[in-house]
Amino acid sequence: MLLSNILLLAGLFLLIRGIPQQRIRKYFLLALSIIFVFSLQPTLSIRNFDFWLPLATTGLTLVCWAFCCRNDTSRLSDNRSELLIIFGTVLFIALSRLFSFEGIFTASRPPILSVSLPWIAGWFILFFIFYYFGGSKPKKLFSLFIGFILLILILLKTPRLALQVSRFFRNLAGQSAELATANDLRWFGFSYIAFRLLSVLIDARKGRKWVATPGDFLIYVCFPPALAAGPIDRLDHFDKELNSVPHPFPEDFREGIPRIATGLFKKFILADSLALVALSSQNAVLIKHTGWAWASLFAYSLQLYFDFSGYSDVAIGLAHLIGIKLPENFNHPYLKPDIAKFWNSWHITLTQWIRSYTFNPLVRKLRKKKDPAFPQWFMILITQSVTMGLIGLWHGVTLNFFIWGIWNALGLFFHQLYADHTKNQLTVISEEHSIAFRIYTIGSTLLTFLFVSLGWIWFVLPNIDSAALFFERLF
Amino acid sequence: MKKILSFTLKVFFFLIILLALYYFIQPEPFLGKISLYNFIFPGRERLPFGENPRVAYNFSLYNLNAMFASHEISGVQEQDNSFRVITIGDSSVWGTLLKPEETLAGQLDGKKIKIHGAERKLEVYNLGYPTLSLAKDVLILQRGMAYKPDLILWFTTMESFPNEKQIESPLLAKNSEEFAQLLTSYGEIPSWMPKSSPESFWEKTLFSQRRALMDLIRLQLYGFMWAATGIDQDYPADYPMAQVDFDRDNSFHGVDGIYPNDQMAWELLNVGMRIAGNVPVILINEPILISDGENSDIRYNFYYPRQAYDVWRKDLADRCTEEKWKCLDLWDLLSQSDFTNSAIHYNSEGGQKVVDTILDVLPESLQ
Repeated sequence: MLLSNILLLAGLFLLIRGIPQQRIRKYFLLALSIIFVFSLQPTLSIRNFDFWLPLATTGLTLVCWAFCCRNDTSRLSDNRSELLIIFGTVLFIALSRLFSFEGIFTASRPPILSVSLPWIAGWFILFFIFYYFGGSKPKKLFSLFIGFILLILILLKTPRLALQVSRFFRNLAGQSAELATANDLRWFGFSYIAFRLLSVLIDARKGRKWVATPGDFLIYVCFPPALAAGPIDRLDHFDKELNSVPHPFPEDFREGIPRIATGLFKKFILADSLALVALSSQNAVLIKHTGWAWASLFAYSLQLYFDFSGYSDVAIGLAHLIGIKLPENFNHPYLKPDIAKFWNSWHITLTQWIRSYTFNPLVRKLRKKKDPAFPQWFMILITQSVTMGLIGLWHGVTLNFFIWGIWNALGLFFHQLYADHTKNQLTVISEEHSIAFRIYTIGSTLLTFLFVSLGWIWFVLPNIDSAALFFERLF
Repeated sequence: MKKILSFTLKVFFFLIILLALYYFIQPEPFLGKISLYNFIFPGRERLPFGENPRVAYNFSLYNLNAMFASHEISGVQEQDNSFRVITIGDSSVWGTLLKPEETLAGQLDGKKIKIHGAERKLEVYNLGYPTLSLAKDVLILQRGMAYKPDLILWFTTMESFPNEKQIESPLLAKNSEEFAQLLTSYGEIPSWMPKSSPESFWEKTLFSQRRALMDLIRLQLYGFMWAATGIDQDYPADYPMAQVDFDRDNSFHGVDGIYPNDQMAWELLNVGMRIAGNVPVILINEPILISDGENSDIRYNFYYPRQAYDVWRKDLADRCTEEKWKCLDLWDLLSQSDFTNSAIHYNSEGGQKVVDTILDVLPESLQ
């Protein structure tokens, strides 16, 4: 998000917050969420994709709601106003083609109405079909929907597949397939949108009940501050925040504004400045001296943290302005004395998501096996590798991201073994030799930072060769 | 609500004080002197210039204090045996497409010559800047004098002479006041010099100068990458070579035939020589591409029609004789293959030939 987007959003949130009736306030927030899904989508080289992708986000979210909701408890007649707002806002954006609104609601002019209107109608028909003919659905249907969203994620995150998809759509749009690149499909915020949808679908598959109106659900999935970089909230928590009586405005203002200011400082001053000197695929091969190579690596570690946590601060601060408390996403991760604590403090909501939907089920499954049961160390290794590997692949389906995941998994695995062996000694040291324990903590914090920073080499560099070369430069 | 109002008022009040202080102090020129170069990062071997900072780790800014503070010349101590030389000129001296060690200064640096019978080691600093303008040369020369050179190599070419070229570069535009003061101090106010107007209220505000301030920080940040990589410009793998075929056009800056003398800033050569004072200056007419392509009977290259250039070159030689300046005419020293992307940009081999020629004449010139 650009600074202008953030300031605009803050201003609009303050205006919406001024509306006395909560219901009307939510309507405005709903319309704003849809508008921002469209307006934040950057220009793409495939014709009109800056309209089609946000439309797909809106449509997919609505269909997901219709799919998961229990139509005996969520009557459409109760949600007529919200559906009208959703439909009206999307229609308004499509009709903006007729006025001089280019660059405001969509990055480029929306497609001609004879093309866009049938698609909008199509999404809504699909929504009603799922709603009316839904009822209680078999688990397989849920699995299919989950598989569909995962498939989109895989297509977008795998450079080779993304290239093929781009070629396909370029052919469809009558554009040269020769010019296709994997970057043609930069679907704004989809990584986060997908995880929100997946959590709802997985919970619904397990039979977990929830009551959220289509409007609330859409705000949850497409909440503008959290679209770019999270946090990934849980539906029940978000819905509760959205519908509860907000804190007194001065309190929210006092919390929100400094948080936004901190986030802007981290992102636009610290991170953007560090970006000029931080390790990148371009400068990795150009750096001549070992000392500067280390400095650029540490600069990257800090840049990534300030960038990401800065965005989270802005999101949390903006949400405060509208009376919603988003979960924390970072808790001084580089000051943690071990890798396990680091991962409990870095991108906390993603880690929790993965823990809930991958790690815990996997642990349960492995524990079920008896005669012979898996050894403890084996279970730790497998579960950490799978979960961290998945976190790596979530950033992009490439070998380097996977290695980065495994690097951290191994770190967690060895730390677990070490912690099990030294638990008693460390307890004694911490109780009887406080200075020695403090020195130990400082040392382990530095070691953790070093390990995590070395791991970022796999994350930032595009292939194994360049990463290996850079490791060589360091040592 | 009262607390919010009080908080907002405090912030507003603090902001007003900050803006007022900035307006009255005008700290930007002074801030330029604060630099990490020559302390944490090695000084740059040429003045900051670049249009693609992300690749070049270098960019154009116009705070002369900051530009010089980032240059290696600001960090060196005088050595007993060394003979300090500064090179002044345009992009051919700065070294477009050349690595720092391939530029004229880079190739001359460290060479030993005999001056008055004693062997001296050349300590050469590149103060070239990619703008064709005598006014810019004079402005930089005046700054360069602070570093007590023993010799000035001033490279020039006809394209730097037209009056209209003098102050069109952003570096001059942003430092017009300093340039105007410089000319006034030497009693030369050329007719082409626009009357300087004081900075407006708006131009003095922090908001208006935010870009210049950010540039100071960016210059320091790019120092990191300069130190780490030794790269200070974009080296494209491929680029279009200098043009060798031309239209049948005999004009120079819109004037057909001989370019009038009164439209050239000859007086700036005198100003430059007076700035140099007792420090010897060698004025060098830099090599140009002499094309053998289409219509090369009319034009030497993209810049120069033969007729206008020949007359200018003769005028330059005449002035050198008249004023007893030490001049070196290298206009035809290089062959077509020595040039890169422009009629005045030569490659490392071309630079070597220029350096060899200079080294040949240097001892004699310094007698």
